[in-house]
Amino acid sequence: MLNLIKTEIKRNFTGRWFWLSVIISGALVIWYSIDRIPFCVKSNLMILENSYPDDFLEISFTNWIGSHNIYLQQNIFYLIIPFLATIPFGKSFYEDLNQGLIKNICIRTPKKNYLISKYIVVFLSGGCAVVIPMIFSFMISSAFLPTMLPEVSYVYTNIFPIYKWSNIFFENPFVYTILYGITVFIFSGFFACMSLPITYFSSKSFLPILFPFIIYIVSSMFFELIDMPGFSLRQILTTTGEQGTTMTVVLLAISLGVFSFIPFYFIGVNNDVL
Amino acid sequence: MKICIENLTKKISKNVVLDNINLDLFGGNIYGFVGRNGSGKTMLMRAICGLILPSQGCVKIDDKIIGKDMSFPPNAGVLIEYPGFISSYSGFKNLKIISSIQKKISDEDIRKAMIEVGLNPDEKKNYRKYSLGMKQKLGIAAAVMENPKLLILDEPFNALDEESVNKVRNIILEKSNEDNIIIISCHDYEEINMLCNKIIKLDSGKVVNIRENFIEV
Repeated sequence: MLNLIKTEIKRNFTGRWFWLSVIISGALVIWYSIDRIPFCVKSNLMILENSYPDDFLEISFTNWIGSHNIYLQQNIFYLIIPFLATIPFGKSFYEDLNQGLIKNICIRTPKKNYLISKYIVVFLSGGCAVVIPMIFSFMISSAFLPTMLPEVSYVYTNIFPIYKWSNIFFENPFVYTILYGITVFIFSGFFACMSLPITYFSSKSFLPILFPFIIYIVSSMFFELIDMPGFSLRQILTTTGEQGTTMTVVLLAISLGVFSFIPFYFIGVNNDVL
Repeated sequence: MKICIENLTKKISKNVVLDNINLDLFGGNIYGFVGRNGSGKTMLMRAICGLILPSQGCVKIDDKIIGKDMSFPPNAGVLIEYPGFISSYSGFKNLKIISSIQKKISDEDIRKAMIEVGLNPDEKKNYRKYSLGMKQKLGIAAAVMENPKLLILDEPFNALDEESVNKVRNIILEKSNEDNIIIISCHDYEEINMLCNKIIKLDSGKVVNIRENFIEV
């Protein structure tokens, strides 16, 4: 199975769809950085020159693509996360099934190995496609803005004490940023994997790519409408989402994992390769 | 190598596509599956490779049941229906990806298999730009490159020109030895008669005739 995982990883990370996804999110990062960083640098210079002695410095932890969802670029980024995650490899299972590659694979390795490898690589590719540009954005911010502890009294951090993990943010913002990166990685991975089971029922290649996005939007709207915003994926994924707890994050991640893996694996194992 | 097919029945959405098939296939033979369209040739080939699981009965390879003791026949090369590859990769890259699953052969072996079927391994053209004949040749190269003990070729001469047909015919004859089982399906009776020493006729999912064909293999 390790050989198959290696092969699939190579196929994904050298594929043009992976890089297309990274370029789209990279473009958003650059747009955000051009829009936001010079303003922050100028503001910091003014503070340092004592023009505004009572104000606080803009820091890297609060000025990267994943730090809020209040600017247009961040809003777009958070909205299209399921697309960014699914573009790289979500279609590959559809292609394997419909172009017949699965026959060449399943006579060389057990089908369950193929299904598990596919799931692992789709998960990794989805996570990486979203998190790599986030890391890139944080690096740009850190290159121009100070990386220091945020001020609790500074409202423009946009992270308030009632938010999940806010205590970590104010005590150790770097750990908080890593924790958020991991959360986004896991959810993006599962978004990408949600494209897999739908492939069995899809006769069009765009449906597996569209499906996770529909789930993301519809389920978020549903939980917000029934007054359970803590289970809204949109709220969970954004650092400035007011709702959600560690428990809802874990429950949602497990649910996405179960709903993507179980139908994908069991339908796959029992289906004939035609 | 020995393949035993015992009471094999396959139903797909209430249609019986294979109906109580009993067959013994032995190493050293080239078997030809013949029959009308929809007679069950391809389905039987799929069942032998473990791509479909029987509704009843079983396929045993050297006394091991496919789908129970093993998922697929060890050491098999298969071309069923149409060749299946990644459209954005070159022929060589496709074969390299497939061979990397088992890592049994080197790049040189892949190149050799491609040259044998008449393809240029250095060709950078993507698979999607291949002609029908080139796709078929790549499918055959994928099936034979790992020197399989069980070689299954479904309509291998489709879309091939005369020169390529001769090449593929020679490859098939080369691969036949005491231990190997080769199974071919073809609509061209002349071709089947030329290559196969046992001819199995299927109709409506049943084996209706098994005929010895006395040729020098």
